Amino acid sequence: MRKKLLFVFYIVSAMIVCVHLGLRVNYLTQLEASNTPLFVATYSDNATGPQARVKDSINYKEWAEKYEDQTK
Amino acid sequence: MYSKKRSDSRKKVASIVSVILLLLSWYAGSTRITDNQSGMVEQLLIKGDGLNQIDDRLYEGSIANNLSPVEYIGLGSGIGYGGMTEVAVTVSLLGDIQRIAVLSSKDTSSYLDKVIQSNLMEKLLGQNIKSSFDIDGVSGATVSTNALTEAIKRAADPVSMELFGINRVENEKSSSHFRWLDLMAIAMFMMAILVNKTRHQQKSMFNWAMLLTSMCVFGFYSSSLFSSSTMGILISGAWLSGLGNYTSIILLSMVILYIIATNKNVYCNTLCPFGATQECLAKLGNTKTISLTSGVFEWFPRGLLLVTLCLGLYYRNPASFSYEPFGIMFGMIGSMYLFVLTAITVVTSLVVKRPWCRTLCPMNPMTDFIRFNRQWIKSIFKKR
Repeated sequence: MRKKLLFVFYIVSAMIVCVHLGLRVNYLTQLEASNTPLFVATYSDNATGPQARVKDSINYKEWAEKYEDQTK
Repeated sequence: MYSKKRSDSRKKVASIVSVILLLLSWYAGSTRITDNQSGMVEQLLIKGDGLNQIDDRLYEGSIANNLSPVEYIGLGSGIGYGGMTEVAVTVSLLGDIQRIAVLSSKDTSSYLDKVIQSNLMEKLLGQNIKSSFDIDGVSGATVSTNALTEAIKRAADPVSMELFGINRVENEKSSSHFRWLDLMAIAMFMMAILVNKTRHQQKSMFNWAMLLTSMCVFGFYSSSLFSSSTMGILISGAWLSGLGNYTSIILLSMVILYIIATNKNVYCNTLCPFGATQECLAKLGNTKTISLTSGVFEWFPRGLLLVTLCLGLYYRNPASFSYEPFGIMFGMIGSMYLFVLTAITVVTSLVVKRPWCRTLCPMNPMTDFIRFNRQWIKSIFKKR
């Protein structure tokens, strides 16, 4: 009985490992073919929270400078 | 006698073929590598539509018919578990981080995913490169977190130099990679040799103490036990350019050297944290030692390890092809498939003693390979 259980464990584990490795190969091949970064995070002007407030103040400063230039 | 000779000659052929396959994978991997970094960097422009390379680590983005730059893109790298993590950072002329991109990573993908899911990169967006980046480590993926933050700092550095004349990274002291855990690995290995050699009455108790300590320290605390990916890192030479954690490489190197010197493997029974976990589960259930004796069951793990190592060498990313349940067991990090594998290993451990060790563990093929070649080389020298 235990031998049968170990046999089943072996077969199921082998299948899981093969599927896992196959997916890894597929992922890496597609990633290389797409020639894109693994992950990209971009700052959004619509973001909320303290970072957004800092960004807004800088935007205002830029806008004020531009306005001054235009009205000179 | 005839059967033994036939088996030996089969093993000799397999040994030579596996070395040739590893070399071929290494060579094929070197011809595959293409320099596509600038193509990737071009996708990271926000305001600009043209890219000019200033030096190896710095690009400037500009608008057509306008000579002055509108933004900068810096490149940097940090050392992770399996090697370098490369990052690009897009910075505005005011010094605000506008975009962060991970270009490539040699870390185990599930660890990198955990760091990315923790929104570490998003927290840095909008920050000014003149300010210091205070980043909290991600529990269970400290090495990957450190690699990513180091890479971001290094990527921001050439831009900081260009915009404000500040070179922050060079001023920072580089920390030593040799840690107390590495010393602990060496000390524990020495103790494992002593425990295996002793004829003391309490040998079994000493062995249990070693297993439990190893399970706590190298398993649940640091998850720094070695796996097939460590074997790949060792043979690919990726460790020469730096690693975030050397403990597993140190353990593996000592195990290999000890097998070469004495033909004995002290790791599996006395030090392996996953073996210790299975032993503990065996104590909870009613287990028996069972082995599958057919040749297929012996050769499949060998083939599996060879394929894994070849893929790691071909893609220059051994950490991506780890197939053991260790990450899930000691850090709950890994793919869904590895989670299922861990679950069935835990359940089977309650009925059969050390099921993983007796089936797919890469340690057995590696030990067999070293022992066989050791014996073969020894017999060649004896004949001479």
